[in-house]
Amino acid sequence: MVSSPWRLSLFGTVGLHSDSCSLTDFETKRAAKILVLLSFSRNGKLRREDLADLLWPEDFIDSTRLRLRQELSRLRRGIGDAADIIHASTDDVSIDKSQIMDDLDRLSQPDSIDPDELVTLLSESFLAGWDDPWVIPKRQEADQVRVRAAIACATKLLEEKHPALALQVSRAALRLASQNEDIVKLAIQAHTDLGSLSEAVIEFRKFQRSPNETREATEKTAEEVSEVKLPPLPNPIDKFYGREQLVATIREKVQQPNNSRLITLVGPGGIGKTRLSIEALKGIDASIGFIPFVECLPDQSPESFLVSKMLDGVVVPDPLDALSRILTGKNSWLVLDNLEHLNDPGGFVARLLAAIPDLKLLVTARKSMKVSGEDVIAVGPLSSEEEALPMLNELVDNRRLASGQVDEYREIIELCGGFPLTLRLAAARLRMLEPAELIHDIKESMATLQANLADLPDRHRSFNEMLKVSFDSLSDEDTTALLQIGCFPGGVTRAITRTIVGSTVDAVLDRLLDSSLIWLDDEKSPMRFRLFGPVRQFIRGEDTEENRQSMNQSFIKCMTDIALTLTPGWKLPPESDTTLFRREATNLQAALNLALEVDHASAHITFERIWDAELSAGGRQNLLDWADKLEKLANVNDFQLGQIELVRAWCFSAEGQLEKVSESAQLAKGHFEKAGALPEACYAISCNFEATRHKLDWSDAERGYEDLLNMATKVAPEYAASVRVSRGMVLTYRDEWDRAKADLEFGFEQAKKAGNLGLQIMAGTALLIVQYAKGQTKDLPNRLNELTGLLRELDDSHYWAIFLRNEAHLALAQGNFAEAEHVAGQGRSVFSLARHPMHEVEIRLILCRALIHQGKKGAAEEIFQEIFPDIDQCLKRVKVVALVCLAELKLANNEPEPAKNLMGLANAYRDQNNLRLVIFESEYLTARTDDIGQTMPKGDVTDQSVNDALTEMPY
Amino acid sequence: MNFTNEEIATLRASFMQLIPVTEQLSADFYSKMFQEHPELPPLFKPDMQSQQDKLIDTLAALLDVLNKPDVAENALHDLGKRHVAYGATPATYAWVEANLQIVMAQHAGEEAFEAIKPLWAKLLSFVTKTMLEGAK
Repeated sequence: MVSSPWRLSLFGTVGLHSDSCSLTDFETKRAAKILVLLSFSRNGKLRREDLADLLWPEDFIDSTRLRLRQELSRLRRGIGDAADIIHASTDDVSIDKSQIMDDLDRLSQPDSIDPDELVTLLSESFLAGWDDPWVIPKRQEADQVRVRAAIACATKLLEEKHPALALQVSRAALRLASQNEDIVKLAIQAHTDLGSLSEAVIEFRKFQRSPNETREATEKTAEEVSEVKLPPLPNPIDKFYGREQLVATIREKVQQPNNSRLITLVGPGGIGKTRLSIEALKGIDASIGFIPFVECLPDQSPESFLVSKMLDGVVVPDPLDALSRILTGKNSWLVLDNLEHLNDPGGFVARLLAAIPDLKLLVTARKSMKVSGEDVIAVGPLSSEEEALPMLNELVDNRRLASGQVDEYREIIELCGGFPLTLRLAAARLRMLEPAELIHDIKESMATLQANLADLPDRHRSFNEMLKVSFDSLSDEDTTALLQIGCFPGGVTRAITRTIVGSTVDAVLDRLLDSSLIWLDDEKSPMRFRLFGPVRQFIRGEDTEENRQSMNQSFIKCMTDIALTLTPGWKLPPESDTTLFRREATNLQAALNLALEVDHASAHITFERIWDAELSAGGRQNLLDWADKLEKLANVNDFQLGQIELVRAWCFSAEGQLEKVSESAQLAKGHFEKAGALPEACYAISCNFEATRHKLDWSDAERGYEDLLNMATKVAPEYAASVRVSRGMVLTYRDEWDRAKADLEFGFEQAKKAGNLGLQIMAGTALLIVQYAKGQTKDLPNRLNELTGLLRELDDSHYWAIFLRNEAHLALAQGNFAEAEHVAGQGRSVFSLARHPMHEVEIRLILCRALIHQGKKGAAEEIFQEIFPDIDQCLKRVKVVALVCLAELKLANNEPEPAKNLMGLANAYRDQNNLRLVIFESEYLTARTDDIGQTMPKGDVTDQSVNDALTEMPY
Repeated sequence: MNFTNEEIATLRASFMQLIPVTEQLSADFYSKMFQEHPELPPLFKPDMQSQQDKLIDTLAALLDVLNKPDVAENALHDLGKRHVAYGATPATYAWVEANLQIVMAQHAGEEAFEAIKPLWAKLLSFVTKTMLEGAK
């Protein structure tokens, strides 16, 4: 076994450890990164410029040299006794590898780690919170090393007859690699050796069934994919200057059908690529079709990033496949702005173009993609005479310039490097300074830095210098305000700015607007103040790490205060909460992410207040990621663990992953009970029974509701109403109308008293079915009106969708086919927004039926084909309706025999599975059986035969 | 009927080897049952997946308590009682006893299973006898 005096921990908290001390308190994260990067390097040595490039990939190399020197000093200070292991020369930085061993080295020698420590290493995150591009491949490698170590360790433990330890190790490894067959076998062996074949069977089932869930999730997204709302081309309000030739060239290339499928606008940050791409495409999108525009942000997987932008956070197991579904057949251009922010942009572009043969890309980036067939258009500075001069003059005061002034303006343009953004900043300064004064300021600032940045390209220097001149000209108060506003990625309102800068808010904002360092986004209400992208990037570099951390803390605090004004997730929020959440969503999400990075207790508060709204906005992936991170925070208590599991259950519920819902809901219940939070425990149980209900486990569900009702009545009387509504809904499926009515009316009245709009709507919507079943159709219009009023007040897409489904059912049942088409059409869109794929199939079938009855056969066929890929994943009772609907389509196509076969299949399937249909569905089945007739199938009807009948391409 | 420690260990090892194929094994078993006895399907719940899981869970649980004959017998008596309500008859038990071995042999490999077949026969005969006692 090799041993070194120092151990570098990479899992959990990064730190240096020896027998006598642990050093984890680095001054900055970058200092720790230097240590890790050196340890990862082959011989412990890295060239200074390579190291700087890895630490500041976005910045110019020369500006990073000074910073590297500072970070090295910080690192040395931070590691005190161990500082001797770091050596720096003019060209290189190195680490004495004989003195240090990192966790990956140790995992490669499993004998050097005892099983308990291995379990810890398997459970901790690798370089937690670090998202630099070089970390991602290393993270994958770390997972592989961990899994290999776990297999070796568990095998040895089993041989040495330590099954309990072997089980601990293999379970920890399964959390990391749930589909690794070797580990599953070791876990089975360990369970068996421990005397429990039952546990071994359960372990194997988990392993065997999880891939199906993945497949299900992939299939379910098909519906969502077809309804995707692609982000449109932005509509900037500022005037575009010059570059007429470039605009014409881009337009020509885009409009020529046989031109390249990849056009890349290449140029440095701030040169105006984004604005140019928008200007070129604006106006021609009508002739070449809708052009989606995606602004890229740093992300680990470009495919996942792009899908999340297009599907609003939906979980997608195979993002490239989803993108292919979204974009195939559109035959249009897609703009990917600032593509250099994504990992391996060239590889990503090549993969996209290969997967989607009719896709065409217009990309803006700092470098070309180096993909074959790429058409590169270089975007350079504005030409001095024809473009920059009129622009600068117009931005200052648009007056006739004397010849001396023209020369001064020309010099300023040259100093600004012809960058449009820099010219805007210069114009802002020219409103306060004489041109000669500004020239002096820029030159002086340049001279100071020239010594350090001698080989920085002129245009980059000019750009940075102009930003620096503008920045340096700010007062301390304005600088602090600017730095603090820069922490808010979603911009700030005046009210928030007031909490930062105090009573002088208006004067500060006016001065910052005048300096052109911030801009006013008046499309939003209330108006928001934002920083230009390059300015935000620039000021980050100007700020010290220490100050940035303190600014981030203030930002987290500010957003936590806002979060605290919101109602917790499981209580029904007032409408104003929803508006506030939507307005501050970007900032709240960013603050939560930051809080999670620094293990800030406020993360739980923000999470608790925003999860419901986030779920309703389709952000399931965010929620699941946050849940994983929150669970790992220090001092997490049972109540918080309960919240985390409950949120997971709701996310899985929206995806129809019923087994996972039950699993998470049961865990949540356990945590809440331990925390003594019985009302919340009731909530968790109810979530589980909802899953049971969908699984058609009727008797279990009803028994469960009875127990739940007793418990709720004792510990949370206000919750009993919700349980009764839930049970009432179950009873509508069992045709027990009187009992259903009693439960639902009780729930409706209680909810009304408590001002719980959501519960009122759920109860009222289910009462529609009861009234219809009992023939009380006279009151239906009143009930519909009442519910519509409540829905307007609540404005929640999920409740709208459920209501519209029942309203459409009613209209169809009453023969109002045009009305049914209208309502189901609305419902289809709303369901799609609410991202509830399980219900989307149902509403599409209603729409399909409404169309058939109006003789719109072609449209009906199209709708039926839309649901086609999801049919085999939907609930059995919905499949019965789909069979009847398909039979109707066959009949409309003059195919009476296949129609009869389908009707026979529908009836036999219903009977064999003892399916409970909602009254509208059973009436539909009976009525169509009378109309069409039926030919009973020979032999048994299996799920497979039904799926085959529905997936046989009918047209 | 008592089982020696060695017999129990052999049965457990044999079952552990079968775990990766239990899903298909139980599906084949019920498929064979319903083919040969078309009158039986209505006696079962529509959700056959959970029925198939129950078969495997019962066998695993039985093997887990086989070294405690009292516990095993009590559990099988209870199971026998419940099966009266499900419509199980002595003929059903006989069919299960014979055919479960056939399906197990198919999945374990005929040759490999031959060596341990007498032990499984002994176990399943014990199950039948004890459940029928409970059913009385």
